[in-house]
Amino acid sequence: MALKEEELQALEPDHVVDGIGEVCPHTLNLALEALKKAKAGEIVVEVTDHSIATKTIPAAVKMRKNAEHLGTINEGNEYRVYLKKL
Amino acid sequence: MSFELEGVEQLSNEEVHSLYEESDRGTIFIDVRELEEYTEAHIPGIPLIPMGEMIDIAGELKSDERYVLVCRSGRRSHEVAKFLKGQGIKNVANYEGGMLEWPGPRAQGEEFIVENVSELYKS
Repeated sequence: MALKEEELQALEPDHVVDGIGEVCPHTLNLALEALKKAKAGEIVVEVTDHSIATKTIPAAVKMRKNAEHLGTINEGNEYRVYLKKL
Repeated sequence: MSFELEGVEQLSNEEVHSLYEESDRGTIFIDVRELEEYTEAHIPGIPLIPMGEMIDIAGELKSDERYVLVCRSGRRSHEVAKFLKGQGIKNVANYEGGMLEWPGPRAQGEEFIVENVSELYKS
């Protein structure tokens, strides 16, 4: 269940991945690599300027069932994709 | 020469191109990118089902058909192929190079946006 923006902003990410300037497949690989390192329950955030990533990352974790997509914040041309490791 | 990665057959440019040329032989291609990528350039005639939607329609796909999945680089389509294998769709392969390496013709626009999975089996 996606969180509201203020709820997302209140979260303290355990891992932040810089995907700025990257496009698929790297944006997807960065998120999946970060999730491998994260412990269950930890919050992983990828910062990206690739709008496609805001769809591929949530779809990939849903397929893999390795994380929950908590939501995505869009500020200008940047997106913060919030994931919770399962 | 195809090879297998995480249980998914990875097809080369030549293999995909020849399968595409003989598309009446029953291979169903599916582009799993996003709409904006598809309308910019896609393999002529192949349908679009974005990755996120594949999760919802996987159960409607015929499991006795042969599928080849396509995306930008082969990475997303590999994820979807793994997912579909897990859903009982055994005959699904991945175009390893994706649109970045597609040597054939390209079309623009919203040519074949799948609204209903049955459309995949009509031609």
